[in-house]
Amino acid sequence: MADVVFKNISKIYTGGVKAVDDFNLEIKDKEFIVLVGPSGCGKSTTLRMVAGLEEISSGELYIDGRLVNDVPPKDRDIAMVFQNYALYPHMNVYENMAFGLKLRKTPKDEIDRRVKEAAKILEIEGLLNRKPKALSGGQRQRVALGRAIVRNPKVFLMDEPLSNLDAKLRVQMRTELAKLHDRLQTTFIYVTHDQTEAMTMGDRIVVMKDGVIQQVASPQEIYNKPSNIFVAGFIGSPEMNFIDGHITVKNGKYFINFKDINLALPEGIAKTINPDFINKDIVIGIRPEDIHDEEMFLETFPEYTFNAKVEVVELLGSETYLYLQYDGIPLTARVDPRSVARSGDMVKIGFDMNKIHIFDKETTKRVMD
Amino acid sequence: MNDYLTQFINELSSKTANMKIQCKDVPFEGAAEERFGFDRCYVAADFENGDRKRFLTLIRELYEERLKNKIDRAIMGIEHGIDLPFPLAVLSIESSSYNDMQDLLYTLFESVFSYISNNTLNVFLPIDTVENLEESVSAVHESITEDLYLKARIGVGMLSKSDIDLKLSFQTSRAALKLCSEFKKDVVFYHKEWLEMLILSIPERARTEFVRENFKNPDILSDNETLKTITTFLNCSLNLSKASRLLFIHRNTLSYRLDKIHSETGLDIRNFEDAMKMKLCLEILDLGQI
Ligand SMILES: Nc1ncnc2c1ncn2[C@@H]1O[C@H](COP(=O)(O)OP(=O)(O)OP(=O)(O)O)[C@@H](O)[C@H]1O
Ligand SMILES: [Mg+2]
Repeated sequence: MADVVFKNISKIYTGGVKAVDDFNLEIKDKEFIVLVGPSGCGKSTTLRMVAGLEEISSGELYIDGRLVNDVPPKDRDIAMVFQNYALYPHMNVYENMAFGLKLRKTPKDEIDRRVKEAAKILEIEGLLNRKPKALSGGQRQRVALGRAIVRNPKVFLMDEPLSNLDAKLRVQMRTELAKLHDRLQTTFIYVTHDQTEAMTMGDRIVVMKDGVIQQVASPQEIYNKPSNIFVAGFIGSPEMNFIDGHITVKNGKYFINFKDINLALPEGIAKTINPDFINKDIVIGIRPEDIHDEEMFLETFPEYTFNAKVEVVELLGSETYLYLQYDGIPLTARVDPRSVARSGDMVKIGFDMNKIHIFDKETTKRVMD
Repeated sequence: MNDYLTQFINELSSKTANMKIQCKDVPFEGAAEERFGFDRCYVAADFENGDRKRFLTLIRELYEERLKNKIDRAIMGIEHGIDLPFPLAVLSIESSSYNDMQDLLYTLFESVFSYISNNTLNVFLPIDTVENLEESVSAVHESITEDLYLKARIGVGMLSKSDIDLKLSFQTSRAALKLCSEFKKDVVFYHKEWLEMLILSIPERARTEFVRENFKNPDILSDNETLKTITTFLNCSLNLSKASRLLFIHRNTLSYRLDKIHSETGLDIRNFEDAMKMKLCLEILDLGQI
């Protein structure tokens, strides 16, 4: 149990790569925080600095109130879990979990107590005598987690621990890890490049790009109020649609405008927009699920609709993706599988203007609440 | 206990008149478990003065020094018929400190022998199958990070089935260690890198030319999702259902993406020959220098 505080942390590798740039973050005690971002954005580097595997180039790192920049890794009270989850084939589950403690010359009865306790938490008590070969993928993961749990760390560091699993097991293990976090009541710092994983696991998410934090917030807030175009595009699948346009005002009413289209903005949304951006170059963001083609929507909100050409229809069973085009602007819509749109058709579609996102084209920052 | 150790102990006993030393595979009265090279055995030493523990350490060092010299000569191809516990894996480990690493290895494995040579730790690990070797070495690397908090690189050579292979095992483990920095990987198994080795043997110009001729737009690889789609599909032996499950997307989405990849790269990787070209291009680009 501990909080972890990053103060102006930077990492420059020998050779000059600036992997992490002025990282500031306060991770609360018992929090489950997820670092997410594209490959090479500095997630692992950040984690490895907490572990003490990489030296901190500048800034201060505190674990449980103690400055740890110069504290050797073994005295930091952290445990790491990586993606490989390799287990020793010649040892049984018990021995695989006990090994780290044995190396530390922990007394035998203490080892026994801790291994059994961890096995109970992970619900693998019945597997302690098995060899790794006789375990399923999910069971192996749990044993590897057990190896970390027996150390009683203050902070768990996990670097893409699920990336080697197939999709089904990955989904299952996400839930398991969340449960584990509840039971252990310990701080978790979790790294992934998979935005779905980030969205389903963390109390808070840290989105990174090029070594710089883009946004720190709850999954809901990140999704509903992305702070810039990068975050908006990175989180959510299929990706948010982006359209160059303007905000115009006519008779006190706000519109978004692109090409020859003008769509009225609901008053509630209009109020939250920074008025400095009226008539400026902006980027309009709309998520695929907020583009509609069903009668109900089109009839209820005629002022939000226009016609677009269907290029490809992708049937996925539980939903359908429409790849559309309007005057050279590509749009992806996620619609109900009952949609009758066919490729080549001109169809009427509507934007849910209550879900619109507006960004400054120049700085890419969000310009509304 | 190997002949070698028995011989060594006998020789030692015969030379030292004032002390008796007894060594067996099984426990016996007054004996303590000791490690000598690859062996764990039970030793009772009876001598008049001095510290028992220091004495045993001394014999161990003496024995292991001899063993090390023998192995070194076998690696150089000077000594033949060396009796070691085959099949044997040779690992080259590079790290900032080896003190705790040897202790780690001896705690982990019933039988293992290691020594430092040219700032690299040579590890000789008796192991039965390549599969166990891969699993064990990955686990060792994780233990080094998780338990010793050290960064390490490990090169793993071809498995030695007998003394004839030892030289090759050692050389390939060193070659694999070198490849670690080339591939930016912490663990490299020589036997797994046949394709990379093959490509490295092709002149750079020919490699560049190959990619230029066969791959229309390498820029699309900078998109992570695209790259992942390609590698997953290839790794699933071009099986659509399996790849889409692993990628967590619908079969139709995958088909659609493969169409897009086809039109952008000119390679339809559902077709074996194009898939092979794709694999080669990816490896070449991955090895850089283009
Ligand atoms: N040991 C190193 N020496 C030099 N540069 C490095 C080293 N390790 C990482 N880098 C560089 O630092 C940057 C951040 O790397 P890092 O591994 O932290 O990224 P990541 O976000 O974990 O990416 P991924 O999702 O691919 O794991 C990258 O540009 C990488 O090439
Ligand atoms: Mg990483």
